Amino acid sequence: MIPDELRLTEAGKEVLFGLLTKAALGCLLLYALFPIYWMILSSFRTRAEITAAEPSLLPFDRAEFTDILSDPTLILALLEYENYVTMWGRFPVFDYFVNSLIIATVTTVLALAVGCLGGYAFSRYRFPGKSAVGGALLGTQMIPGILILLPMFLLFIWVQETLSFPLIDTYHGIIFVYTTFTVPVAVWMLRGFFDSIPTAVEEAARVDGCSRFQALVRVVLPMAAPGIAATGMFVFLVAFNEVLFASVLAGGDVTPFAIGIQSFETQTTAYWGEMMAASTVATAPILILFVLFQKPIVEGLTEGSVKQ
Amino acid sequence: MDATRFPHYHEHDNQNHNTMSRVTIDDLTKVYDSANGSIVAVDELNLTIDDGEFVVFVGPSGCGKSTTLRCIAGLETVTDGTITFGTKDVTEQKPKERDIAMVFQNYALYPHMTARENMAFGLKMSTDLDESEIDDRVKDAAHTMGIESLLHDKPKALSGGQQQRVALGRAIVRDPEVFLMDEPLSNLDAKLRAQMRTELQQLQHDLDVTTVYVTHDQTEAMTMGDRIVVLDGGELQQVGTPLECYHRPANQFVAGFLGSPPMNFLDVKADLEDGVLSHPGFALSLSESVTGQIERTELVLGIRPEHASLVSTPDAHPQSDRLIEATVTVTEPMGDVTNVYLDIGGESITVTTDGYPGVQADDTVSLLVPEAKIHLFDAETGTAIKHSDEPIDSTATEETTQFAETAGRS
Repeated sequence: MIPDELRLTEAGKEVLFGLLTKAALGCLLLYALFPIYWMILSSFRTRAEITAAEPSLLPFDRAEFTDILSDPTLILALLEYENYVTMWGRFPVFDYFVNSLIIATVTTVLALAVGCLGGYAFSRYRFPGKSAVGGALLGTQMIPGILILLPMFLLFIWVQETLSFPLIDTYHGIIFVYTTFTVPVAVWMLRGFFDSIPTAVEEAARVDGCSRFQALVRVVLPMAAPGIAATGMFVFLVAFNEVLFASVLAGGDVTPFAIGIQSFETQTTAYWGEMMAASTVATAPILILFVLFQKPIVEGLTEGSVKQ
Repeated sequence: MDATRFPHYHEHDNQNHNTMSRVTIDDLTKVYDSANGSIVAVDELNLTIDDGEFVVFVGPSGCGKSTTLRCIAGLETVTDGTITFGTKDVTEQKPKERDIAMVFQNYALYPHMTARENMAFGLKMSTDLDESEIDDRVKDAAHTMGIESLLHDKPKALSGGQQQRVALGRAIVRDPEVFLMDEPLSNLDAKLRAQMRTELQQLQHDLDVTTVYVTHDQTEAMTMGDRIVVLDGGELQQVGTPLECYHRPANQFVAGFLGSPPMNFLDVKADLEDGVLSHPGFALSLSESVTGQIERTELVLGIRPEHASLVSTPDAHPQSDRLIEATVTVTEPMGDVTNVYLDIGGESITVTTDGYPGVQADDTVSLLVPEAKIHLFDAETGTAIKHSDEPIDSTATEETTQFAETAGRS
């Protein structure tokens, strides 16, 4: 038996629960952010520091920290920039990055275009086979990618040979593959967002002189903007980060960044520092883009449309 | 509002609004197919709404009033029947081809547009007016609705009442053939609702545009419309002026739906030979003129709370044999009137008296139910057999004898 004076009050329980939740979230956050921290840290290190038997968890030693505390500008002097200079010369890092941007951006545009129309149809129309088609779309996500890699490769070869239409190592080839992966998810995500938009607003637009398509473009899509942005971010990330299909189907001039940085690991040496520097440089713009996009997503644009 | 303040509308009136906007609904039927079978939302509805008329559809949830409105708007397809505007059959037309404007219950403003853009949107989409003409009309409509200062705000910056005005402004700026309003006031608080009720009536009167107004609120139905259309279960119950429907209800449903507190109903048996209505708690004699109208014996007696009265001096009353003894269960003082709830043979009866009824719970009182004021309905079909003799012309003056004597008044 716990003595009464040791029992927690309701308020006490709430505080304790809050602390435990925060601690758990803190651990998860640490787990998620540590690799990124290690990436940035390694990018500023020399080869010897990276391959040391016991690498330091912190960027500076005790003496350096004391110096930095007295003069913060010393940070810049103490960092090792060499990786950021040499990485550009060793491999076409910039081209890899541009390839990734092209592939991810076009995939996002295509997946959103199809996803908006499909998601809207699923949200607003009743048609035969609706649940079957919806289930099939979701079902595609349960097949591991590796299972369709080989068939996809053979298909690409077949198209190339019979139709003389090049697909392997082309932008449109890999964009086609990524679009087929992401459209089902985009349709499902956007369907949810369209469901949350009251039909009355659309009906008002139709009474105001819009066709259904005009009502979709002029009223529904602007209202779904946060959802479209969220879906777009998701699709962009999938296309930007994909490795498996790109490693087989997108080489040569269209090599994306995720594949390209592997070239820093050669048969004889691994240029860890430069690889980490290149990764940091490639991550930064995406991160900034997403921080900018977060605002419209969090800020519900539909607020004020209808009285709840 | 006068003609000089709102020039476009009156110009338009003279050109088009003569019989052009009569709305005729013929055998309108709407059936929804669902997984559990089909649901008849509207069943062979026939109705003609005159040009410039303000018609209110009223009924409980699911009675088909909103569905009918949406069929008129073209937002629902029609299963059977036709809808005609003037001489033009619009049954198969898209909403945008019908020259209508609609006000929705939740206002349905475009959240990404300012109030001005919300109001201009319909003109931009459906007319070839240039920017400055659109701007003039938006300003006129904003002036009418008193929202000039809000034109640059987006809906989320506006209060519920202001959003409602923008929604109305968006409808009137279109200068449509027909206004459709789907419970436009039900999201406002009580005070604002009462204010908008009169304002809307005034607006409709000034614009003189055929208006179909849907509500479940019987106060709105009674006060706003030229005629009201009472619906239940997808079927038309009665069409008439508010006072007709109130005092000459076609059936027990209409009688019970209109009025607050509602009409009292008591199951009675008619003894046609003796001319007596009998109930476990009382027996009421009927005059020959009334018994002559009765063919069945199973009846429902209806009496409106304001037509029954409490008698303070039963012994001295000239009709003392017609008085019914009852026990007061609850009194509900409303200030101007008091609702007194009585128990008669286990059934509850409401009587509306003046503000000071002079009775309290558990008092035994005498109730006068004047024969002229009672309604009788067929117990099986609900069809009305006899109505009260209240005048249904709203300009009629009350006869002095119609003042009910109330206990405590002297």
